[in-house]
Amino acid sequence: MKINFDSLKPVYIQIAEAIEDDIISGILTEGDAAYSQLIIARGLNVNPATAAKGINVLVSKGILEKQRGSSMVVACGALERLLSERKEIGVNGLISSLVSEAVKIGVSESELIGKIKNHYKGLEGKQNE
Amino acid sequence: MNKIVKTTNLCKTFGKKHALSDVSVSISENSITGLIGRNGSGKTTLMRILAGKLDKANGEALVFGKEPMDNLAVLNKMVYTYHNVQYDQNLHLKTILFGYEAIFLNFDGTFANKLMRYFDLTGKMKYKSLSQGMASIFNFLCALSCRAPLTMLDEPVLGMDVTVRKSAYEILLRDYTEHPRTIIVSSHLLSELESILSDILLIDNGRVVLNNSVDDIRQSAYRIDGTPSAIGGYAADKKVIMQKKSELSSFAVIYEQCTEAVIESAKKQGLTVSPVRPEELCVFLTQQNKEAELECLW
Repeated sequence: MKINFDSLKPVYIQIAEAIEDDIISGILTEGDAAYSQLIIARGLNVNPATAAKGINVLVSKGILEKQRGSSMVVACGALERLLSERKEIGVNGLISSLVSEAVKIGVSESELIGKIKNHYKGLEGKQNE
Repeated sequence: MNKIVKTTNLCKTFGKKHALSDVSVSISENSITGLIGRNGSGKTTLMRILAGKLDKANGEALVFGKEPMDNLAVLNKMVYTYHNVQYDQNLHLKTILFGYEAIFLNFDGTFANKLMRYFDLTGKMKYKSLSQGMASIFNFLCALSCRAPLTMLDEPVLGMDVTVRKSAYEILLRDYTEHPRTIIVSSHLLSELESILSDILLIDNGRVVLNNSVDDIRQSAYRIDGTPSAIGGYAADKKVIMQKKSELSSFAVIYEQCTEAVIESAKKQGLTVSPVRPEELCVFLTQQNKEAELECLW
């Protein structure tokens, strides 16, 4: 995890997204204990209040759950929900900026689609190696 | 949340100078508050009143719900250090630590000694032989080891080199997570301190300019870059706290909640949006208009 203090994204949102990334990449799996407020504060050198705010974003989204006692665990179905959310919001957002950049510099629709296909081929090639 | 410090219309004058005017602030329990302001803005005056070292002129200053001055019940719960603590210059550091141990109930001598070793200080050194930076380190470690429910650090990093400052911030945060307490720290280096703070209290000319959580302050302003006409059109009905026009770059700083909707709408008008760090915001909110004077210097 790395926090960028020069980003438009609030620090607590960056913390929430970093935890989401760890769930998506499988470092944290469902039912695992998530990072505590203090672990995040010490690890990233941020105030515990900011860390708690990041965790609360995920609790209100249902990605993390408070278990008996005070420990926080990755909720059941968290991974699936995150993936569909990223497909919906994340990929759409990227495509929208990609398309507007393409329009600005005069790349046609078919040209752009061709380039995307090439990238997919490139990735497959790498996986086959 | 429990308020540890609460002032209402606090005023203080030194002769004709108004050091503090109508300062009404509150500081929550277990927060780390950065007390920020320019030279002579009243930071130290405020801290000294809270520490019971200075009498106020008017208004109210409550610490743990009571007036701090001459009130042992309150003073026992707080430690206040500043850069030129007047110890007897011939005292050994070891002796000074004994003094702290005698006064402060929660003083952790083992922790203090570990910090002494960490920062390469020995008990045999004399306070007067320390450089400014080393004296700051010593004062900092003493204050931290007191584990006082209210810890006030006035310019704790004065004279420390950048490496030591980094360690100091990390130790402060780590010790706070181990032993939560209310900490007030004044500094000119907000950018370094920002990440470990929960709140910022900005004062200027003895008046409160900002008193809010760091997370809110980080989002309370943004900068737009673009052509002068695009900036003019966008900023017309907004609160602009800084504006610059030149052939190479024109920008404005807008004092308004930086939401995603706001970013989108600015982008649609051909503007680039970038964040304003709390330190920059404090500069914009406290600088008098000296641009013209600056141009006249040459």
